[in-house]
Amino acid sequence: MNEPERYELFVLPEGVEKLSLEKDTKVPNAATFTIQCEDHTLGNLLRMNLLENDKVLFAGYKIPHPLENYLLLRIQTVPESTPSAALQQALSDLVQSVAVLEETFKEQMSGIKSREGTYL
Amino acid sequence: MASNHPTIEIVEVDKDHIKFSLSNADSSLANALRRVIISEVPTMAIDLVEIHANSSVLHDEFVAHRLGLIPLDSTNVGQFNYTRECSCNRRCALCSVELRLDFKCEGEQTVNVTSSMLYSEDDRVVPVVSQDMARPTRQNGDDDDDVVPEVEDTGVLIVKLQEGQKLSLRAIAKKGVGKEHAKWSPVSCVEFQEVPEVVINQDLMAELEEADKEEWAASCPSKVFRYDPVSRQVEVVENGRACTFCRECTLKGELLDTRINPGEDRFAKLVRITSKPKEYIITVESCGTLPAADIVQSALAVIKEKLSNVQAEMNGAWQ
Repeated sequence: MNEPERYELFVLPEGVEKLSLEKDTKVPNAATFTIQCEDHTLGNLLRMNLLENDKVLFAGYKIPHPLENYLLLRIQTVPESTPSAALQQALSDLVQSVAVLEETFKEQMSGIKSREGTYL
Repeated sequence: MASNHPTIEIVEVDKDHIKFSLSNADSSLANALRRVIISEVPTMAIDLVEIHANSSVLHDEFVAHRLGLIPLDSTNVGQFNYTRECSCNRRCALCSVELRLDFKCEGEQTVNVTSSMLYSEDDRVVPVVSQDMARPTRQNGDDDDDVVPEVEDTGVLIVKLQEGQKLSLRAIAKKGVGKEHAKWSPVSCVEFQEVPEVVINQDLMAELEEADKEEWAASCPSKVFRYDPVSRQVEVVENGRACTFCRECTLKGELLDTRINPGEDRFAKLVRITSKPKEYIITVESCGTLPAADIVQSALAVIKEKLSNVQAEMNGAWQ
């Protein structure tokens, strides 16, 4: 009855920004990103990657409410960098990693297929 | 961080299973892969059911729910649109497939209505029929007695009909993801585990009596250790791959301590079990809708797309 529609988990409502940024007013070089329609899959992936970056002093994420489909990603960096730059770095690094994985996986699969015939 | 990229290596693969190792990767990547495989790989499943006649013992909703859970061959899912993204008004051949079922039990015998009686309008999306069951399999080598007789896969049971009962319906299959409903999930099981590293302290082991060595080696429920009576040594089987980190071997060592040298803490350290850093083994078990390898490939593409979406938003909106 009051259950939210399931598709709201991954369909971005009209007029809502996928990503928004709010700068921290008290802490220098800190900001909170709001990412809509994403969950722990992306949140944890980004957080762990950000923590490997030397320029990042703090990185954490939370999903404030289980029925609201957005996550908050808070980043604080050293003065030489900005939270946006750190996030951009993390994103491009992860995209590259996954692309490499995709490529190697495809290569190995075609190797196996040609060796063992059509196993499918 | 270019040289720091994770690598993937396929360990074993067949149609329904795949096992691969992910090394130089954080657990967050392994977990993202697991989560995406469960809930964000698109497949086809029956979503709408129009019942024309149903005099079976199950009520309409019950039958509709069971139809939804029937695995449909989704190898061609890439050729379909999501209905909500399709350019059509309500639904069309680009975003849905119609299946029909029409059966009346005429004879006295109870008849099983199964998924193989579902007639699909589109050859690209049909109920899954197990190929392993259709093919005779050999077990235990070439012994002819062991040939399992050919068994025809009769499909998934929907309902049983008695004489005079009838079931007639029209079902619409759509593309979807497991996040919306578990019927769209392509897997029955995905798991990732750490890789065990088992090292025996052989100097300490040499202090044990032969019988104790044997007893200690037998303490492992996963049979990671083997006592070799010829060399009189305990060795690790297959690099300890079977180890489940249960610590039974350490507990056995403690027991030996209390018996041989009470109060000391020596034989508890007979073996050191750690997990290899940044390495995971992922096992995927398909439920038949997609080949296991395709599921992984699709999942990697989904993760990349999720990341690129945010990336595109960053590049577009600001900076």
